[in-house]
Amino acid sequence: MKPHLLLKFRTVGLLAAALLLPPVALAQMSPPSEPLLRIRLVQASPEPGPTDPALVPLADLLRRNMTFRSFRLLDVKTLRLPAAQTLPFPGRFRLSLEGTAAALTVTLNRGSQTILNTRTSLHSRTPLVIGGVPHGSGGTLLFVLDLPAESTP
Amino acid sequence: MNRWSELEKALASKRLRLPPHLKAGDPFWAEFRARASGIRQDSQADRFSWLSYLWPRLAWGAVALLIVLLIALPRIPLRSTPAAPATAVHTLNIVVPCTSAWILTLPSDSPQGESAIVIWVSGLEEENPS
Repeated sequence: MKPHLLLKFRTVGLLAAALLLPPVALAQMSPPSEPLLRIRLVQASPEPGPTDPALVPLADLLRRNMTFRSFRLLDVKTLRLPAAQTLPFPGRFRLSLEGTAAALTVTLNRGSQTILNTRTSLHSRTPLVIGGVPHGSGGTLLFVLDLPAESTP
Repeated sequence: MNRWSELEKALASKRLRLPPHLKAGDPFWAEFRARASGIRQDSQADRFSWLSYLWPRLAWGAVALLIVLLIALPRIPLRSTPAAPATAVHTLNIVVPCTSAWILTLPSDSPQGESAIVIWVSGLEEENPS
């Protein structure tokens, strides 16, 4: 191959590298996108029984610290933060969410009645559990808010 | 005007580019090389061009700059990427009547394990159907 052709190939290669590397560098520099917020409605019961596999890590933690023995997943909803919306749940519950993971305002309603409102910050490895609401068919309802990995909504 | 006078004129005017019909195997050209040793033959590839001069240098410079940035950037603490806050309850307002309310931290049993923050409201009444 002629030397000037080699020089042209080298120059084209260098330019391609110069054009392709900046997006890679920028991708490393850019901050991560806002996370996904997952809300799970769980029925916790002191009676022994099956536990949903998706709840195993949290169920183990709650069993060690509370009197519950079985956990049943009633509903799951996800949304992208920052949020400003109200999600309906079985039992006429509504959960209003507003803000980012670092400053999230949560309001829990049952029918037209507001049960509580709270301002929180969420971290991906630590879920927030709102519990204590009695369930009509026995047990207690828990609202579990966490930031799951994108691949496991 | 013969070829010698043409060449001498070119040399006198310092116009050193040689006509393209002069080839290496030409005896006339061999004699010229002997006479004017040290004069470099210009070819199409030898012509100076700012474009061909700058392209490789700019490309090498860009690659070097990117390598420096890729190495240096992860070590620079950027203000736009603050540490993620821990899960916490900043304010809590229980609106309905209840007997008690707690904010609990359930610790994990290992550094890699899951912990949880619990808002527990006790003594809530079931919803009145009416």
